[in-house]
Amino acid sequence: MARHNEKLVSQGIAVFVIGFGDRSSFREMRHRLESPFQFLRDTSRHSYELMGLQRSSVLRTYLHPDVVKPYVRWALNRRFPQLRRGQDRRQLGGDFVILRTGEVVYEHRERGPEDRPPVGEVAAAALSAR
Amino acid sequence: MTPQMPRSPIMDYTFEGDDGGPFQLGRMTSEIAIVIFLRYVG
Repeated sequence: MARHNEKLVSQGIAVFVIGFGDRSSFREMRHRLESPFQFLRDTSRHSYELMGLQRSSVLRTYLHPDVVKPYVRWALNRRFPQLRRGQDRRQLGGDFVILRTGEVVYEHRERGPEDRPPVGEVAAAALSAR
Repeated sequence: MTPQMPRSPIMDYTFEGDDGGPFQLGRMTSEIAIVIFLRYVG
């Protein structure tokens, strides 16, 4: 999404990233990704409820092939991701395009941790909402 | 007359902003927002 940022900004589109992790993890992620976006936190996750974002099943969270594959790849390369304990890994996310009037014109609620919409699809939805 | 779509309640929800202060999407200055809810910060 970051590589679309210049075009998005020029079209009057802002990107907000919302998470529920602790402040230091959030800062670290933003720094690591060199993200130009505005980051917002909601540790209560009430906003997730408001948007109808659910929790994944245990099986899909930990055993879906698309979830397991990157961990196997990391292990084969002797790289191990930093596991952030204490966060709810079953909480699902989602992507929305919202007008300033509050009208939601695009929504994708994840059905599992591997269920991400193509970045281009979200950007296109925002650009066509103009 | 075109029916008015409902205003999402997320617009009035108070998040913790970048600076640690309160932030509501309803205060955004852009016409359009892409809002990405993360699963967890890994």
